[in-house]
Amino acid sequence: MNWVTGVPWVYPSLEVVHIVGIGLLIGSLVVFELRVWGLGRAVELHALARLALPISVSGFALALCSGLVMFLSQIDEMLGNTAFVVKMGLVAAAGLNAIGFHLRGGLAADDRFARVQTALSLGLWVAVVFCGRWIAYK
Amino acid sequence: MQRRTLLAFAAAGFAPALARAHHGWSGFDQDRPIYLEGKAESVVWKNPHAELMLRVSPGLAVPADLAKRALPAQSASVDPAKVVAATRLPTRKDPVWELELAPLTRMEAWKVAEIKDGQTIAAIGYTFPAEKGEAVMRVEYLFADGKVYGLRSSPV
Repeated sequence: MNWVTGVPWVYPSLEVVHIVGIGLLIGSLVVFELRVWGLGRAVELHALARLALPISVSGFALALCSGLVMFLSQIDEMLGNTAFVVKMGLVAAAGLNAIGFHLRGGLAADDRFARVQTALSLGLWVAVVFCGRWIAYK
Repeated sequence: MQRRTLLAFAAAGFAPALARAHHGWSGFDQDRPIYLEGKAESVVWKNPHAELMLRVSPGLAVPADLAKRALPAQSASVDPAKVVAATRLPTRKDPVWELELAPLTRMEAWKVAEIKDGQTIAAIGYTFPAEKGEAVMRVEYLFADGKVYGLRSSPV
């Protein structure tokens, strides 16, 4: 993995892909979640979900792939970094929350618990971003 | 690579025991620049920033001519005279310090030749407030190969 840290423009380029992925993941998720919470009722919920959620998943995939390459280039440093370790726990929690939401029936379960899950989802992803930025400061 | 990956997952539970870390500028006490000189060891010339271990020269002293050395201009607003005037030796006596340099793109902008293990270098930089924690210095000015480099930003 020497080329990841040894070629000057590679690591920052991976960080750019990571950030674009974050933008897509959270941006699209926020639009969907605001609709779940009642904003923009002119937009049909299921149609919005079909548009927005795959975009979020694609964003996550970009972040995951770029993150994995960065991680593999400096495994010891990352495992020794508290912010990184906490971040991974939060990503897992956000992922489990998303899976739980869909196992409960997704949009069919239009109840208070589902709304709590969407709020929790956003909270978890913002916490992931916080930890991700803090890696450099830890 | 397979074994390392397995160890990685196993080691996740022991993360606090692993000491290496990355730091931004804000974690360091930029009001108290310190001076170090010695031989480079374990040079890691990689992103996100180059770093090395420095085996401090015995009888370390701040050079008398430090204030007279021409410190280079750079894009960040650093006052070289102010930094040099405040530069002292660290009070802690660690024989080896970890020096954090700059990202590779910035090292290239300054045309810093890759430092080799065993090479004698010097640096002005910052460590943690009250010199607590590990012996880590974030380098402001690097003296190597008879030249001076300002590692906070790019040369102008």
